[in-house]
Amino acid sequence: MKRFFCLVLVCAVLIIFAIFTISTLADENANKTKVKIWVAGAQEGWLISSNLPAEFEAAYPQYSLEITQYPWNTLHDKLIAGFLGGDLPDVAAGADQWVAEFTAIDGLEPMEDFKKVNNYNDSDFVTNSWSHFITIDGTLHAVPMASAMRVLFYRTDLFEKAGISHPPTTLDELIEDGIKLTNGKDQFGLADQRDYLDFHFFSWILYAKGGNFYTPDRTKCTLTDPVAIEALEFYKSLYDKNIIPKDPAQQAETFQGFLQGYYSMAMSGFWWLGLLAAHPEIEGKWATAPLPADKTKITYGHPNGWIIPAKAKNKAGGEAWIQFFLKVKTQVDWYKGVGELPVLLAAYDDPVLKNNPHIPVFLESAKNGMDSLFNIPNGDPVSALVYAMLSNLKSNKVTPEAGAAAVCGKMNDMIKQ
Amino acid sequence: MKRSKKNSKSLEILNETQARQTKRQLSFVLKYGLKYIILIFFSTLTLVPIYWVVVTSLKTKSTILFWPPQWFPNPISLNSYEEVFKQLPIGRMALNSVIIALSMIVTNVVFCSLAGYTFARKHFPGRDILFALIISTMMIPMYVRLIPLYLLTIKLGMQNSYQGIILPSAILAFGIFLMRQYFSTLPLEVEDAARIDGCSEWGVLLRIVLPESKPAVTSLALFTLVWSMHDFLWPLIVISNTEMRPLPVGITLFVDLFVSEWGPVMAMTSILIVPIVIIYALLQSQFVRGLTEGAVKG
Amino acid sequence: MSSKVLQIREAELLLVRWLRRNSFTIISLAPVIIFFSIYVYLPTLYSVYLSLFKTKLFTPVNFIGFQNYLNVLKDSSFWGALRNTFFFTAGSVIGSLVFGLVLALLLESKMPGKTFFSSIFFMPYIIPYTAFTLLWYWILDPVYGLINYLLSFIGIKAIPWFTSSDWVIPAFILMNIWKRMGFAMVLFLAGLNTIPKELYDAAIVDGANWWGKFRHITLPLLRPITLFVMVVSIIYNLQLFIEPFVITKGGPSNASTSIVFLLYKTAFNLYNIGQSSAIAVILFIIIALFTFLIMKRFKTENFYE
Repeated sequence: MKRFFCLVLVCAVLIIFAIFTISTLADENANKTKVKIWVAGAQEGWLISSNLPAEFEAAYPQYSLEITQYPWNTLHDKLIAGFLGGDLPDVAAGADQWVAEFTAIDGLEPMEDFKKVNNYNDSDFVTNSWSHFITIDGTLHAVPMASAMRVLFYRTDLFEKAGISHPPTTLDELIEDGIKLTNGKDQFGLADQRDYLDFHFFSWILYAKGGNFYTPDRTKCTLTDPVAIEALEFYKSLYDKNIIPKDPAQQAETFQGFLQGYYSMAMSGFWWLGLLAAHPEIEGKWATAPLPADKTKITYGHPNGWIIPAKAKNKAGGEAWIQFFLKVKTQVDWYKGVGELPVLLAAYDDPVLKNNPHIPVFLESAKNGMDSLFNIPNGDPVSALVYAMLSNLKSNKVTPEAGAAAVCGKMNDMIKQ
Repeated sequence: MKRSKKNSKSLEILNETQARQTKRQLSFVLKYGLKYIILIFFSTLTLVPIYWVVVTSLKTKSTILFWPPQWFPNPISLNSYEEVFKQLPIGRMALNSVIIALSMIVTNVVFCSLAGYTFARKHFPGRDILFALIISTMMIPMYVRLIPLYLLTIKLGMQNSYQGIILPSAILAFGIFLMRQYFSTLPLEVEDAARIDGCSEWGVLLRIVLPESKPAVTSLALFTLVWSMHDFLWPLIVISNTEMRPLPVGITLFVDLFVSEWGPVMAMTSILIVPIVIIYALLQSQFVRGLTEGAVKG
Repeated sequence: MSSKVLQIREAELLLVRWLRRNSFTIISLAPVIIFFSIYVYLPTLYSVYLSLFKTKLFTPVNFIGFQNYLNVLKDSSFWGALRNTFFFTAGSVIGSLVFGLVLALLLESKMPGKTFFSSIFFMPYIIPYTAFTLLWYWILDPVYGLINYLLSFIGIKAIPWFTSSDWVIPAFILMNIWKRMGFAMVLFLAGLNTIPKELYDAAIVDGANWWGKFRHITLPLLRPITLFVMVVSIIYNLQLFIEPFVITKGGPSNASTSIVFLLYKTAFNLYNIGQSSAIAVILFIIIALFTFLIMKRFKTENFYE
C-alpha cells in the first residue's frame, strides 16, 4: 500500500512539473507576428509539411505561420465556438455551405475590399470562382481557394467491350449507355452515391433539366415545378432500370466499385484523379468527360474558400496568406500537393496541368457552373432535407411528387427565416 | 461362497470407482475442451476486424483495395507507418497522451474511490438524491455542454493547455458509480471489526477496503485510460495547437470527408492498440493475483 | 458575557464538532460536488434556461415558455429518432451484456490462457472511435466489404448493411456489441472475483449442478455489477451519435437518425439552441426515467447488512 502511494505521489509531482514546463515553453518566433491558418481534411494537411510555409515566410518576413489541421465537421464546430468567444484563426478553409450561415451570425470579415484592393478580376479566374461565394444579400465573405467541378468518370475498357464509341453527352444517351453496360450481377452502368454525394449527384440532374431548388431570390422552393419533377423522375428511373443498382445489397461504395469495374461510370470530382493515379492496375482504362447535359449545360461544383473571421487577431496576416495563395506558383504547388484544382486560369498553363488529359474536362465544366445553392444561411439544412428525400425516392418509399411536396413544405419554412 | 461374494463385491466397488474416475476425467476434458473451443471461436470472430486493421496497415496503397481481399500483405510495406511518423510529431503527441492519461487516472482513482466509498458506506440525509444527481450527469450529451464549457475554459485561461483537456474529465460520474457498486459488495464485518479495533475512517478505507478492491481500482484505471484515448472532440475544441494534441487525435490528419487514407489510419490504430493491450494484460495478471489472495484469506 | 455571544460560541462549537465528526464525508464529497457544479451543472442549467427561450445563437431573445418543447414533440423526425435510438439501445445493451457475461463466466476460473483470451476480447473496446467507424464503414460495404465476403462462404447472401434503412440500426448494434462486450466482460470478471469460493463449495455439497449454482449464487451476487453495466450501457447507448454522424448522416431515409444527432443538427446546423436544449432536456428525462425504473426493479441493498 505504501509503495502504491509513493508511486502515485511521484507520478503526481512529475505530472505537475510537466504541465507547467511544457505548456509554457518559449516560442522561438517571438519577434515575428503569428499568422494562424486552420485547414481541413486529410488532403489539406499536406500544407503543414510542405515547402509553402517557408516560401510564405520568405515573402513576408514579418510573419510566421502556424498551421493546424482539423476534420471538416470539427472545424465547423470549432469556428462556431470561436465566434462565440473562443480561439480563432486568422484565416481558415471554409466549406461553401458555411459561408452564408457564418455571415448570418456576423462571424466573417467581408472581402469585397480585399478583392478590389488586390485587383482580382473575374476574368483571370475560373468561371464563377468569386461569384460562387456571394451571399443572397450581395456581400462577399470568402475568397476562392480551388475549383471543384464534378465530371463524369468512365471505364474506357468497359465501354469498348459494350461497343460504345464515346461517353454520353446527353441524359438520354446516359440511359442508353447505362442499359448496355448493366448486366444486373457484377456490372452496372452508373455508380450509386453515398451520403451528401447523392445530393450533389441529384443537383447535376436537376440543373441539367433546367430546374433549381429554389427561386433565384431564395424565397420559394421550386422542387414542385414540372422540370424538377422531371429531374426527380429521371433520378428514380436510373434506379428502376437498374442502371444504378436498385437492390441496396448491390450498392457498393462508389470509388471501390469504379476501381473494380463494377460501376462503368461515376460522377465525381478532382480528388479521384489522385486516387486513381495510385492504382497502376487501372491505368489506361478510364477517362473523364463533361457531365451529360439535357435542356441546359449547367453543371455542379462544390468548392471551398478561404474565410477570415471578423474577430481574428491578425487579419492583415490572413490576407497576406491569401495574396500569397492566389499566385500562380502557389496554385500549382497546391495542386501538386493537395490535388485541388487552381482557381487562377494562368496556373493551368503550367506543364503539370497542361499535360494532364483530364484537366481540360474540368475546365470545360467550370465554364457552365451554377450559382451556389448555399448562398443562404440555411443552405446546409436544405441539402439535408433533399438528401433524406432522395434516399426515400430511390428505395421507392415515396413518389417524386409527394417527396417534392414534402420537401418544399419544410424548405419554405426554413428559408423564410 | 461368502468369500467369493465378498471378493465380487469389492471388485464391483473397484470397477465403480474406476468408472467414476474415468467419468470425471471425461467430463473434465469435455468441460475444458468445450470451453476452449467456444473461446477460440469467439476470439476468431472478434479478431477478424482487428486482423484486418493490422494487415491493411502493412499493405501498399494499391493493394489495400484489391478484390478479392488480400489476406496477407504482398508485398509487405511499411509505407503507411512512414507516412504517420513523417506527418505527425508522434513523440510529442505520445508524451501528451501519457501526461493526460496519467493525470486523469490519478484524479479519478483518488476522488472516485473516496466518493464511492462514502456513498456505499455512509448514511446521511440526501445521500441517495446526491448520488442520483451525480449519476444523472452521465445523461447529458457532451454537445449540450460543449460551448459553455469551452467558454468557461477560456475564461480560466486554460485553453491550449493540459489542464484544459484534463479537467472536464478529472472526475467521471461513471467512476463514482463503479466504485460505489463494487464497495457495496464487500462484506461489512471486516470493516466493522476494524472500526471496533479503533481504526479511523481513513484507516478503514486505506488499509482494509482498498487492498480488497484491486479489481475495481484496476478496472477504473483501465477504463479511465481508455476514456482518455477516446476523448476526441474535447481536445480538438480546446486545443488550437497541433503540438499539444494527444495521440489519438492525430488520426484526423488522415481522415477525410469522402475517402480517407486507409493505410495511415490503420497504422495509427495499430500503434494505439498495442500499448493499451499490453497495459491491460499486465493489469489482468493483477486480477489473478487478487483472486488467489482472496481465496487464501478466506 | 452576553447571552448572544454565548449562543454564537455554542453554535460554533457545535459546528466544529459536526465538521470534525463528519470530516471524512465532507472531504470525500466536497471535491466531487464542487467539480460537478462547475463543470456539469452550470453549463447544463444554462442550457435548460435557454430551452425556454427563442434564441439567436447562444443568447435568449424571447421568452416562449414551453414552445420549444412543443415544437420538438410535434416534429415527426423526433419520434423517428426516438424509435431508432430505442431499438438500437435495446439490441446493444442486451447483446453486450449477454456476451460480456458469457465471456466472463468462461474465463473466470484459473485457466491457462485467461489473460490471453480476455485481452483479445478487450481489444475492440480500445480502438478509438474515428478508426472504429471508418473500419466498419469499410468492412460492412455490401459488395466489397469483408463481412459479406466471409458470410458468402457460409451461404449467406449479401446484406445491405448501411445502404438499407432496415439494416442500418442492426449494423450499428453489431458494431456496438463488438466494441463494448469487452467492457461488460472486464466488469463481470471483477464482480465474479468478489463471490467467496466457500459459497460454491457449500452448494456443491448440497448437490447443486452448474445451473443451480449460476442461478442461486452467481446471478444474485453479481447484481450490483450487472446493474452497473446495464445502467451505464443504457445511458451511453441512448446517446448514440458518432455512428449516424460519421457513417450515415442519419440515413438512409432517416432510419439512423438518433436523438443526439437530431440535437446536434438543431444546434449546429439550424442554430436553434433553444430547441436543441429542449431536446436535451427531453432526452435527459427519458434516460432518467429508464434508469430510475431499472434501479428500482433491481434494487441492490448491501447484502450483508
